[in-house]
Amino acid sequence: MKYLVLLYGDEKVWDEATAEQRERIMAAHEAFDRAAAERATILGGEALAPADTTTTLGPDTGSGRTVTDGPYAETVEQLGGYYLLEARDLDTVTELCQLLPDYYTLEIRPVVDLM
Amino acid sequence: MSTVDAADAVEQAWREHWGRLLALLVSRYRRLDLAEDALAEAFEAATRHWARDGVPANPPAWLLTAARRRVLDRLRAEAVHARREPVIVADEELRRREREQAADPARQEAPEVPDERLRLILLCCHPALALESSSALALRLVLGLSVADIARLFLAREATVAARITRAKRKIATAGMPFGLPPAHRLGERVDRVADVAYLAFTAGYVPGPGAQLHRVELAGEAVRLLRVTRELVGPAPLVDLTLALMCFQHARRDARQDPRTGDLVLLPDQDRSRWHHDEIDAAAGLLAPWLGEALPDRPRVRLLEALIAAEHAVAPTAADTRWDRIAAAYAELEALTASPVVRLNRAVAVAEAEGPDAGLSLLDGLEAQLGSSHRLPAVRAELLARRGDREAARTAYEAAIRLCPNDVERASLRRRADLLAAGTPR
Repeated sequence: MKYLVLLYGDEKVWDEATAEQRERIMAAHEAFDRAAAERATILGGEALAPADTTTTLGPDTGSGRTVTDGPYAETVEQLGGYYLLEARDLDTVTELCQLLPDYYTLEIRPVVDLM
Repeated sequence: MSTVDAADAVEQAWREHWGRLLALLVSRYRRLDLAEDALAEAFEAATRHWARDGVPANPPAWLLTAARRRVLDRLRAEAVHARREPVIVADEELRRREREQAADPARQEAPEVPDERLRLILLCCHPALALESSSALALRLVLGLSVADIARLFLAREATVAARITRAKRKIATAGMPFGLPPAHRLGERVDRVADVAYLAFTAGYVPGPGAQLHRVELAGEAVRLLRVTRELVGPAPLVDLTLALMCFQHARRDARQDPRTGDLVLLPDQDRSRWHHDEIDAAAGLLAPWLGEALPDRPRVRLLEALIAAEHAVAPTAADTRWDRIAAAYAELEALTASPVVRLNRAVAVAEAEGPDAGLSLLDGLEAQLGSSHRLPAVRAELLARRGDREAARTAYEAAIRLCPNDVERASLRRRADLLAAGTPR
């Protein structure tokens, strides 16, 4: 099964982190990468630029889309990155996600298989 | 074969084999919806066939064959319509066993029924499902309760429960929750979750509701069965044993809780203790005893203290013999662990019994802020005020409790106590 893992977090944590703390965060990602390569397949994954660089386009209800500067929802926790995984089951993914940096909130969404 | 005998045989097969057969169908076809419908239909068919042709020599094998046939019919129909439903993920061990069984015609003829129930229980109680969903799902899939009965238990509408179960089944398949056993280091927390699911269903049966309580209390007993089955499969574990003990102590009092003539709620001190199930109390004590001296983490420790309190009530020969000092001590530790205002309220009652109403009343100070909307706080206050002879203040507190109480049976009970007080006999 394919899963999209969405990584949410307070951007301040990274911005205000010391070099040592940043190293720990990176090390957590590397540990995740290694374990995920072993027990699943990483199909993709990126870190995203800060949420304030987002451009949001509203729905077109007949008069065109409105363009807004900034993310759809202004919350403390913003989407900061994602992984796309191929894994056997949900438990495998949740177990792998334990390795990711502590301060993230993680959402695991199954990808619809349209085969 | 009379219809009655056949009905009994179906009932017995349902109690003994439903969960196992369903688990087997799920492991084979990986479709909860199909397995559930097919097995329910097989039991319906059994009611007709067994009355006509006699009970088969091997009822579970008959039921399994009948259910399989129905699953295959459905799968064929789906293939015709080119529909594709998501299937459940199963583990390697299970696939290997299935391949072996499929390759061996003799084992298909007389299927030995391997016990897949633990997989099914853990799946229903998966932490990615809400506790309420897990409770409904486990009662339906593991024990085979009807949606109507589950709705009755939770005081919910049937359509609501049906929707909750459907959504949970869909999530299991779509999110890829495995029909498998977790790694050894995760088994403990997964089994703890089953204890929480069972306890939620159990307490639901004891929440006062409209109409007769008896049937819902019987349904609460099904939660005991769920946890007992789990314990048979995994062996002793602290949270499971202690939750089971707690439920059994409470459930052993079921027949004495309601006045058989009037239907009124009978409070613990007034219950006829000869109507308690003392065999069940002994069994619960047996579950509790091994953990008494153990150093336990907070969660099982809380459950242990709750079970200890229930045990003290259950073993007292009369209400007057209750060892309130021990109960008060257990509540004090429980309050320290949970910081719960409800625990504080119960502790106040125990302390009042052990040391007198004034000691109890002083523990109620400051609870209004947290329990202001509950009728139990003024009800307890009224009781303690009455006991120290403060009748005017007690009357006011009873009126407040009666105003706040949402339930008919309990409100009637409060009204009786208030009337007794007015008549000059507070106890």
